[in-house]
Amino acid sequence: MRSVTTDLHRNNPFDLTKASDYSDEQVKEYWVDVGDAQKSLVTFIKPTSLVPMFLLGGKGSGKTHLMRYCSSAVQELRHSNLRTAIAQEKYLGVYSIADGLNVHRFSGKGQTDETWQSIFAYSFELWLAANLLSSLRPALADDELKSAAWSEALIKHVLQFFHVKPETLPRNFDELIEYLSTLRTAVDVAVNNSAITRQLTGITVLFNPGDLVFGIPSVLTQLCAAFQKTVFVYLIDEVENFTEQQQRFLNTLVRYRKGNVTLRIGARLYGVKTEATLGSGEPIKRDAEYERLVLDARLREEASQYETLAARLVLRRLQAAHAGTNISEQSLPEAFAELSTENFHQKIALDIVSSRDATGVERPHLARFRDAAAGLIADKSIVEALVETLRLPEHPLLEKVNLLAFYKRISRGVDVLALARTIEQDAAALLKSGAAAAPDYYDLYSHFSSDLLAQLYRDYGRKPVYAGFKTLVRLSQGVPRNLLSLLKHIHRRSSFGGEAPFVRGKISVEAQVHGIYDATEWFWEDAQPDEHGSLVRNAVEQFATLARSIRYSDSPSECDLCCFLINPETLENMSAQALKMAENWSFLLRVKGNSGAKNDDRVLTKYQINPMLAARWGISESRRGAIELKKEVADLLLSGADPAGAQQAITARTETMYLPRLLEANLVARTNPGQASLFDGN
Amino acid sequence: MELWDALITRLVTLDERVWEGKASGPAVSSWLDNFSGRTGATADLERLHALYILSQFMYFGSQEIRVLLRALYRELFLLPLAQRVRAETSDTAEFCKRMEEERSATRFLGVGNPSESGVHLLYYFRQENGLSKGAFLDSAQIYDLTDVGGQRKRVPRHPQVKRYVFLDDICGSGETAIRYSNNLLPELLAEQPEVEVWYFALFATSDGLRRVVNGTVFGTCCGAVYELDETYKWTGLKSRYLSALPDGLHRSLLTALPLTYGSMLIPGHPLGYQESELLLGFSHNTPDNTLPIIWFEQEHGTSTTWYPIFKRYPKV
Repeated sequence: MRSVTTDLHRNNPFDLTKASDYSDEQVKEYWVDVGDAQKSLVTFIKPTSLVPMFLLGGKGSGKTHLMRYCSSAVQELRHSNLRTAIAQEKYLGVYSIADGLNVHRFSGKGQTDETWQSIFAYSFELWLAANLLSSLRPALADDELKSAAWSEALIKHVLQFFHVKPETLPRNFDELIEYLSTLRTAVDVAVNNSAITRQLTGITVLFNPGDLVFGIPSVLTQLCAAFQKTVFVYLIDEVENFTEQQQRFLNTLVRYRKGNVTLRIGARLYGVKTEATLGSGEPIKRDAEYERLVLDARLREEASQYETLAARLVLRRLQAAHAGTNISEQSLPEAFAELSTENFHQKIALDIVSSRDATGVERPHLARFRDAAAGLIADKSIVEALVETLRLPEHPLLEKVNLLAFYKRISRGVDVLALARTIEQDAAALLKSGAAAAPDYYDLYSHFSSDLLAQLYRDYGRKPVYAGFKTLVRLSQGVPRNLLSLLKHIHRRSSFGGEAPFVRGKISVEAQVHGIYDATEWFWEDAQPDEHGSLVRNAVEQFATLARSIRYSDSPSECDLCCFLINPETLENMSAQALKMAENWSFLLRVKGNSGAKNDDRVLTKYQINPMLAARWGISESRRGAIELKKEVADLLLSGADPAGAQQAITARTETMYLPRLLEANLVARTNPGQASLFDGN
Repeated sequence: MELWDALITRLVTLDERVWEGKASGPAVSSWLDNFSGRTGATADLERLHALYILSQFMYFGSQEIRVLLRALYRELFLLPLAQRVRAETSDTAEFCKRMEEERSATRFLGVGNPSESGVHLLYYFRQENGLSKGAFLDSAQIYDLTDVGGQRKRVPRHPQVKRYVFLDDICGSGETAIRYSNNLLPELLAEQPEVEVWYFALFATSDGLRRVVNGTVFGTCCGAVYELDETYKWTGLKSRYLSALPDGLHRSLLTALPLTYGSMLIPGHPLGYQESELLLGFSHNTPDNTLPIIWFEQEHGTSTTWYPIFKRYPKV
């Protein structure tokens, strides 16, 4: 019985690694794509397009991996030779990560914001220029590097950008890089010591902003025929680390982009703090001056491409761990056990109820129905007849459909026994002849089966099931790190359960369920929405509580509810901020396209609770149902200002979906709600 | 349900990170099946409580044992020795020379015969502390047998040795040290009263150490890297395990469970040897001072069917 400790058990193939920690070789080795060269992820950021782009995305959406894949170091690895790579790919990727610049040094210390803005811009440009030359160096031919005339021409042209020439001129390409690095080091020394000296002495700004960033590529194009058609792409990553002032400089570079140079700017969803530029502060204009790509949103839109990417990602990880060598993209889903939907989930539903059935205790949904009906119907024989007519012992899920159909169709004046008999006949027809024999009944089943199954699990003290590779892909929502986290936790649960994931047999549903719950907790804890954490978490909790209250009610108004329609423009400040932060931290996803309100022509925005969090509250991961939240309710749920009011709003919204109010509301005359015996069964 | 899931989640992490994969899900399930409602509580409730007991189990894997062996050598042996030598000389060269002399006049011995855990640790102790083979002895090698007046008599075999250091993995009741003190060492100390005898364990209960100090020739020359005070006794009034329980757990059942089943398994010592009530185990073995519900196995001589979670390899 004891499990053997295997290497695979110890070395989980899905342990999380950030792309920023990869070596260039690992960036290439772990790269997976959504398709061939024409459909590559690289085409998402259009490296040969001169239009600058902001590449945004949630944590782990693959921005860094994508940007580093386009860097010169990895270009060289792809083609064995950078010059060949540039010739074929027609761009040179100059990758720089903002984290390395330690940007928070450029503030305070007794200096004005204006001073820091200039110093930062100067230091940043020196950094980019040195990175550019270092990135390009492997692509230069020996005869260029060793040619005194070529070096002299290059240095002469580059130094033209400088207002003051160095005392000792650089003599070759390497010395030019060194010269730029020395200048930047001098700035670093002055900046770092200004905390002590309260002065910024010894810094002379030697060139105009943008001259090196845009000028040097132009010089290189003139001097090297091989680069005449090359696009020089500055890939600047983790820009969320920049302050607003610093981002203004970046935006200015975007606005005044020149020649064969462009920028790709990577940041978290919340990372862009301003669109303003230096000087007048006029914002850069989306689509006219720059493009914006949200990587995970794009992958969500390209669902089939993301599914391919996900499968390849898994296979690459398994390959690196020397596991699952017999698994292909096509056969990967077979490694995961799934719930059988056969015969209307009969087997699963019977598995859930069988042990309690054996004790003779009434099924909870029937017991609730009997109690509620008995409170309204004086004639107990009618209550019993209803229960017996709707009871379907061999099909517990359809039994719940029977009840739901009853709740949905009941109204005052209806002959309830006749209604129950009709439902009974529908169920029998469905079982005997299929969907066409009872189309309305089947429609109800197909809409609500996952909700009713989740209810069944919960009523019997078990967790609702999320299982299967497609489900995992859907849960990860275009974010590869989410997928890896899910698989990591599933793998450890499976190993603990004595299984051999991806080696022998299928990964059990149980291991998947527990792994998904673990990953959900990780996701919830991993996002740290700084000082707004409690506000954001509260807002999402309230949304989820409402969705859960509806899902687990006796008669849910919507199926698979995880979306809300809101008009963000009408919200109070605090609520709007909570909504924005929840979106920035990917707790809520904005669903593309706007929706009209049901009863008028207002345009609403649809938000989905991130499916990565669905298991936390046992809500649906599928985006089907959505409900509109009026301003007052949305404010109560989002602002956190009135927890009791929020709870009241949820109760008010859902109380008629629950027994006994559900029956009361449909059977009792509204004019006389206190009347006890109102129903005679006819 | 939530508590059960939380405990299982804890076990997954423990098994993955600490227990070296020795208590996987199927093994835990088999162990839980031992609990059948004998305490009067339902089997499910007993199993929930058993799960909590297991979640508190302290396991020391091979890496941890190696680190502890280094700590034992440095903290319990080398530093006190260095302090003593330093007190006698302030000259660094002289100090180094004296330390070398002291080290070479020291022998380390495992407690028990060569197949037992105390001796088993010597191999790793030597490796971790960079010691030579010559620094170790088997306890039988302390003496030579000579013929005195027609009678066989044990005499010290290594008169140049000034210090014998006995090592053990755990000192529970202190009985092993007492036995060594009474049976092995009297003749040595009679012949060489100046010889020092030390006794060190990786783990020791406070009670056990007290008995060694007060009732053996080791006296105060004993110690442990990890001293287990009364809070480590499972059912003790000051039990650290039972002081703050999650909702859904009952102190009374947590104390009744190991006692009820322990009485069935080992009637004389239901809570571990000499009622030690410990809850720890090592990669090389689980001590009998640990609650028997953890380690008892059917082969131990009774007809009781029991599936251990951390097996004990007994002294037969």
